[in-house]
Amino acid sequence: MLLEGKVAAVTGGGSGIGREICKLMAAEGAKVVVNDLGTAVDGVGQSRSAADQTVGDDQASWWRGDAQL
Amino acid sequence: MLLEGKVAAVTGGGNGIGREICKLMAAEGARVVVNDLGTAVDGVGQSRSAAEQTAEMIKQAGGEATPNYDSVATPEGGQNIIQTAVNAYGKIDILVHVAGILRDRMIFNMSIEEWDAVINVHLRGAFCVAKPACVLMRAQKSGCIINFSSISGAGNSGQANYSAAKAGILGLTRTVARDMAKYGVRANAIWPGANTRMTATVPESARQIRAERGWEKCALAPTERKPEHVASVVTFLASDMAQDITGWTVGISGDRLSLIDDPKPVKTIFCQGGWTLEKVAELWPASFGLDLRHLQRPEQ
Repeated sequence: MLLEGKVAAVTGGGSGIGREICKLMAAEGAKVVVNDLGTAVDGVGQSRSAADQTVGDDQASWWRGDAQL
Repeated sequence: MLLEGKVAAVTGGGNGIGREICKLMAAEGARVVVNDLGTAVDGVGQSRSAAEQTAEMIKQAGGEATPNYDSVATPEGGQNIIQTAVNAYGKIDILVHVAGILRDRMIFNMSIEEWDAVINVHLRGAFCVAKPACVLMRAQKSGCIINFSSISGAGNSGQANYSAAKAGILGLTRTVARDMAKYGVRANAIWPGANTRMTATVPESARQIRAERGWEKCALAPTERKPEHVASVVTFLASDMAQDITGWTVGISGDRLSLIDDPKPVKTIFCQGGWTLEKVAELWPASFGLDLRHLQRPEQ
């Protein structure tokens, strides 16, 4: 457990690399704010589901992030 | 006469390095659009006198120049700077983006206004003038863009906004070089060093902090760092002698002229199957070490 007691914020944590960072940090003991505006790759659109899914995926994280900065 | 028949536009041509570039390019036969919004170093205020004075100096020396007072930070301003060259001289061969302002502050004290103001002039400005220039240069199948970056782009305490803009300009320049190569258009970046009204704003305390991090070499340089020295290199790069030089960063400061490479790995290790956290924690310490404070100034 490399991050025990730490608090992390990850922008773009709703998919891809950001999501895996959130999951691994949480698994290593960090509490994580998962930020994601939930847009498409080109920045169009918005959705809460990206950030929500990362939080939901991750049983170790009990800190629920706001999907909007 | 290295620039006979060429048309150049120089942003920030009203003072310091920009002015010397305008004067030298005109002396080498170029017709020059001298752009300057005429602000103070911090971007406050506006005055036509900076660009007018440079243009007047060129005319008195027998050269051709047209002043322009647009902001580089808007698409309309950028378009108008390039259009001024087309209207006055029929084309644009050389674009030099020197315009820039300073609002130094430690990251924890920097306001979004200080961030935006500096990014807008340097980086947004670089795009706003390069875009319309590239449209014309692509059609005429020739042209040269020279953007002013800075060694601060490699990191400099108290300059989060400025160093981010100057590093961004490197990425922009390298990509413009690639986008435009097949059209015969070149793009290079400059890391300048010169004593100007901009560098005169650096407080003594900041100089001391930077000296502790290895900046003292500049202060000890035996030759005075004049804007004219920078202008010499920029004018050479804009000439047809440099027709096969593109995509580079060039450092020029007084007596020191450097070809600067793009960032590249200094050490690489491999882990079959890809890196897991366990493998990173196991192999990093022995391979890269754990005492890695990378805070020095790079060699220019």
